[in-house]
Amino acid sequence: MASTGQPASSLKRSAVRDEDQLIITPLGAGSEVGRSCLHMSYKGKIVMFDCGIHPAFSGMAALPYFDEIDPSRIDVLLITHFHLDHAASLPYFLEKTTFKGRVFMTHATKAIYKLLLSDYVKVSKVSVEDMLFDEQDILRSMDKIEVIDFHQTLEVNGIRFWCYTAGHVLGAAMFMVDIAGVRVLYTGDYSREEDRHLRAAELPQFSPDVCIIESTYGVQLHEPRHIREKRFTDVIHSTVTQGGRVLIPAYALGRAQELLLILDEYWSSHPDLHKIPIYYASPLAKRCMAVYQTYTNAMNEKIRNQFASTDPFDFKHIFPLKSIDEFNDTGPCVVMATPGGLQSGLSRQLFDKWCSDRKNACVIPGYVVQGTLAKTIINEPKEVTLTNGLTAYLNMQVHYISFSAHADYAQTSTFLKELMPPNIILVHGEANEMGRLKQKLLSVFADGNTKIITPKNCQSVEMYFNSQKMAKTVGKLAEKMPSVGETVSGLLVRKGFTYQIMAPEDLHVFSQLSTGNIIQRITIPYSGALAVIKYRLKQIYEGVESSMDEESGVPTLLVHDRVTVKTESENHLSLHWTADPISDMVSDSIVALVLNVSREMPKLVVDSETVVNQDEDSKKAEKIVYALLVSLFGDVKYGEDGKLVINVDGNVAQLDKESGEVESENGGLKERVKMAFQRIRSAVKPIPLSGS
Amino acid sequence: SECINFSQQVSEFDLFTLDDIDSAFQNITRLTYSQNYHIPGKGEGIVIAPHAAGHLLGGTVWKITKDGEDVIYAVDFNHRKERHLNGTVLLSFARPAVLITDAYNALNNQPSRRQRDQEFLDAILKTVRADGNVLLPVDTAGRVLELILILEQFWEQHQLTYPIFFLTYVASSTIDYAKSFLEWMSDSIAKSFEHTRDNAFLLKHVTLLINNSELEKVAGPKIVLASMASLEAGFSHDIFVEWAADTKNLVLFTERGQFATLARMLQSDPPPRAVKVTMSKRIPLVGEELAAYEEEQNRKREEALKATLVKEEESKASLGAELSAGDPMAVSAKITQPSSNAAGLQFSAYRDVLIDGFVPPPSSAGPMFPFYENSAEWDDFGEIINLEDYTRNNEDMDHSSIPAEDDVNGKLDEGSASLILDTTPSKVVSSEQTVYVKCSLLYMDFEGRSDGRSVKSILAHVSPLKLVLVHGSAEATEHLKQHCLKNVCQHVYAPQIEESIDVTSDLCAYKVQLSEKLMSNVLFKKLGDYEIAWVDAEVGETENGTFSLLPLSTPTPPHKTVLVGDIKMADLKQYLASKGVQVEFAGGALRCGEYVTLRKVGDSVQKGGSSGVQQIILEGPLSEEYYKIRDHLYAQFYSL
Repeated sequence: MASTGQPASSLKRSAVRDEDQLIITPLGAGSEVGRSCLHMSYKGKIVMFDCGIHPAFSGMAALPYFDEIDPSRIDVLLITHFHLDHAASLPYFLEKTTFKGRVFMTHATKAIYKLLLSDYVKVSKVSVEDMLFDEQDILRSMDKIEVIDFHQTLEVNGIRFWCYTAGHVLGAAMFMVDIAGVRVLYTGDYSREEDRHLRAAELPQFSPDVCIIESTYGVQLHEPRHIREKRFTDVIHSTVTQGGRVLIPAYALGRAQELLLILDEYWSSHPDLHKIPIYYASPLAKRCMAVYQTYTNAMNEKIRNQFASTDPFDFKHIFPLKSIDEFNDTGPCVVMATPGGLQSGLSRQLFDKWCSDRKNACVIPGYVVQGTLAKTIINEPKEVTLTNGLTAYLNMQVHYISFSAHADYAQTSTFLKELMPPNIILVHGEANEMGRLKQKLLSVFADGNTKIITPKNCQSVEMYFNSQKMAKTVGKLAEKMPSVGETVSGLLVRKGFTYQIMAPEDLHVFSQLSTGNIIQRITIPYSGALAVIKYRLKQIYEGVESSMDEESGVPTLLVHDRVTVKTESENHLSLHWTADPISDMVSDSIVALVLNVSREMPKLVVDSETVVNQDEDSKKAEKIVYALLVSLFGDVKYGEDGKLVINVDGNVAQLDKESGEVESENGGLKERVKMAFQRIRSAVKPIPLSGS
Repeated sequence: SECINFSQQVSEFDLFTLDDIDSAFQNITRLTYSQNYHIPGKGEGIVIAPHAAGHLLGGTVWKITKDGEDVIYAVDFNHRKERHLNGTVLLSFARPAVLITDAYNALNNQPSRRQRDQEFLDAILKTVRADGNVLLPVDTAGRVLELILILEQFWEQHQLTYPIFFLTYVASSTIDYAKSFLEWMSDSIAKSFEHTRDNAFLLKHVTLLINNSELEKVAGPKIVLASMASLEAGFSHDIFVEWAADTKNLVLFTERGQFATLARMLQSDPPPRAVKVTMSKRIPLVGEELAAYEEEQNRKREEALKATLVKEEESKASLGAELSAGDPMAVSAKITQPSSNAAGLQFSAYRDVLIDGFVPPPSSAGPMFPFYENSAEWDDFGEIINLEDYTRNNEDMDHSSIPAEDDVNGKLDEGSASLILDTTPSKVVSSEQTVYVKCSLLYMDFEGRSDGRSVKSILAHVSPLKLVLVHGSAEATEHLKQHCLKNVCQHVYAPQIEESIDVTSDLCAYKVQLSEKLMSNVLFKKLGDYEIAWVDAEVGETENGTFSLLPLSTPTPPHKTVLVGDIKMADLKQYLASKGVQVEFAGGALRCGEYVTLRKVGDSVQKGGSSGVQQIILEGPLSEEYYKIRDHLYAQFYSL
């Protein structure tokens, strides 16, 4: 028994510490690009960011490492944008795992998510055996997804979160999560550069404690936007005027819209190009238009002003192309086709057809994932393998002009310098690129106060935030500022992570709880005189006051300041009191006494008896105290001057039974003995008669 | 800007110009619902957040927070979910320090939405089936969106073919904007768009019109939603004059007319047989008038030129003198010199609006919105025009072929643009005309505000510590005030105009740090969202000078037991019955078994009152039953 004390308390302490530990685990996108998914827990609350798939894999292999976590414990799942590598495993996660938390994304993301994933299912149905989810799963997931508007602050289960514009694509968001005052910013994919239709990522108003930031472009620097655009239009212009064809492999939604805006504008200002058609080959092209026309509020001022006069997404020079069968390949043209990585589909078919003609050109307009053909041809190999397995010469020109709206090094470092987060976690980048970024950032934040971490998948980052619990004392209790050493007693009310201390009377003012009183009136048959009762009561209780009832003039007795005894009629007495454990006990004793009195005639009792009893009682109490202490601490002896000496593993404590004072070298033992003695004493003498 | 359109058409309007509107918009910060906006600078520490109010698109209940205390400004809210809007989230706020709300609807109660919609559609159908026309005077945007959706859905469901028109100067822009504000609308609208990309405002049955010439081409019965709702001006005014004499027609009001408007007159009971209306028209100046006008303009220009010269002289002169004294002189010269009679008039008009706007005239029964007669002020030469304004607008028009850079909200339909930007000298001609009202008149409440009964229950639920009532007739305000004093809180204010009230919170508070040692010994009891415990602690001080709470060094003093819980007698009855006790209500008390009674005194509804503690009286003779019932009753509370 004696030894159970210490380990239990250390267990408790470590449990407290665990709560203060913030753990972030990438389940995907840890030192890689693709299948973004981060798991974060703090104070027993669990948040997951993004839920993507890896575009270079298929089936289960493309999923983030969901096995590492317990989906049923996640409170909130936040999706930053609709790209497949950030959102595409969501239907799987919602429908095929035990996840039962809440999911949030922005309005535009939700609308495009459905379009994009339905298309993804259709495309992969042809090529993939083990489908992760089907059309029905997507529809069902739509009902579970809730929407959040930019800057809107929501609270789920004590987790507060809101989002900022992230640039990148329509509806892309950066999430700020606040759990018990510790803020974590997850940027998702972001860009600090305004383009034709999107706003630049905002700089959050508050500096986060942890910033989880993408590092796709590592230490690379983007060319200025106008130079990029000029290179892009120049390549296309010269290729088509020389009779060549231009292939632009791009993702269906997101950056494609920006490129189309550029092309449409360029064609408008160059009438000589009007006879050369531009095709946008995506089944989603038309369907996504409605979304782009509706969620203009997520775009920048420039394009919103354009909407006021004409619809900028109603392209004059760009024609939709449903499939390669419709395509009449007779002369120079520009085709933007999916997928962006040239893995399969229309873009690959056109590539196979055009790659050996040196007049043609392929413009790769954005980041391409490792392992795709698009990545291979950037290095301009002499030969390429076609879909049918044959090899062909790669004669077409390949240009890599990045329009993918990810932050470059300049943007990332300024963004971080503005925010100055004490902890930076790099995700969503290739390991090498990420390493270089880390080195460079370390030189920027050379003061050593900034930690930069690049976890791999499933590698947890642990941080401690020693959050101090602050409470607000309100209402009557706070009428006077306390001074050190004073006692504060009241109700401690916790809601979420906020604490308030208040007087019980104020509970209904500051919370939706209310307090109650139970007033009890019990009638007892009794036909004797009240004086007899008073006499008997006086032998038990110190405070028995006689008075008169104001209304009826009936004599009453107030016992122990708690219970009123009143003659109701000739044959009845009544007891009145407000319920609480002590009063209930007092009333019970009065009831017992009254019943006894009415049964037998009053007996004379010798006064001294009670004194003897008191002595015996205190001896008994002392014995009990001793026995209980022995059972708790083992080695307990009576020391000199009546103190108890307690010896636990060589640590000695001396306990003064009268005052409850404890002396010991060991602080922990001192606390424990003191606490134990207080409890024992309140158990042995539950009614502090002196107090009343 | 439609407001300007109308005013321009029927009278001289010079309170502000389109440019003023644009520059005002530059200063507006846009927030989204539930966005916590931390006020910078002077207001440091104050957080304001808009929350959905229902009623109108973008309608807001404001929550202003400082030091954990909330002030909520909630007027014109609607708790009911509608077609285009969600209901207000006001109910999710609990116990704000101050709630400011309106008493506008305190005395009105509404039928259910379904019933009201049915009556609305029935009335319209009855009229068109009897070959009559229906006029719905509406405002440019706002509640009309709900009406359009009701009609649109009903027409779709029943495959009706009667034409519906939405006629305002900016009808098509209104609907275009509505289409791109789905994030702000009801869940069902957002959902249908996410699933099918069907924008609810892609109207199939309602035709948008920006002038009434097209309307005249349509033969047969039709339904027209035309602005303005007051019938004082605009298309609705003209159509009313045209249609009023035909008994087959129906004018259906969907909101209460504002005081002293034609709409209000027609809503009176019984409706007037005939009304006098002012017909105003803007006609170009011709012949002598035009010549005189031009002469006047030239004279003004010369004067202005002279003034500038004078000003330059003065500023040159003052340059030598001390600068600070010279400047105001120059400025005042600039203001007063070029302005002739006209500018003086203009200035006094401003003042009227700023000061007298909300003062009820002695004749009116209650507070009212400012209303201006259409008494056009013009001199012998027609209207007074500031030529410069118009020439600048002319330049604007030259640019308007290129998409305007900063003019998001200046989107105007061509018809109205030409009206505003027209520089040909013109004047307003008015004539009075008597219109005999033979058509049916009907008023149905589609204002989208919570009705009296709901407002009362919402207030009881939110139960602010202090309540301020504004915007309502004297009668309604008094009624709601009395109700709230009894049922909501002790501090209810209904200030008069220009009356200041002090609602400073008498709340005391200080912050303390909870030490680990204390917290490790606290055992919380969970009650719904709350966790609650009794603490006895000693005040200590931390290194940085704040208070901290430490465990007591002396034995814990006894404290009065606190019973936490909210007892509903009905629930208690059910609970006791489930435990096999015979229970029934008798004379306001709950009789349990044969002899024991339970009574509740001290109203728990009145949370703000001093007797916020509910008292339950348990009475009975000494018996086993008494103790059994007491145990059951104790089980309803958490004792601390």
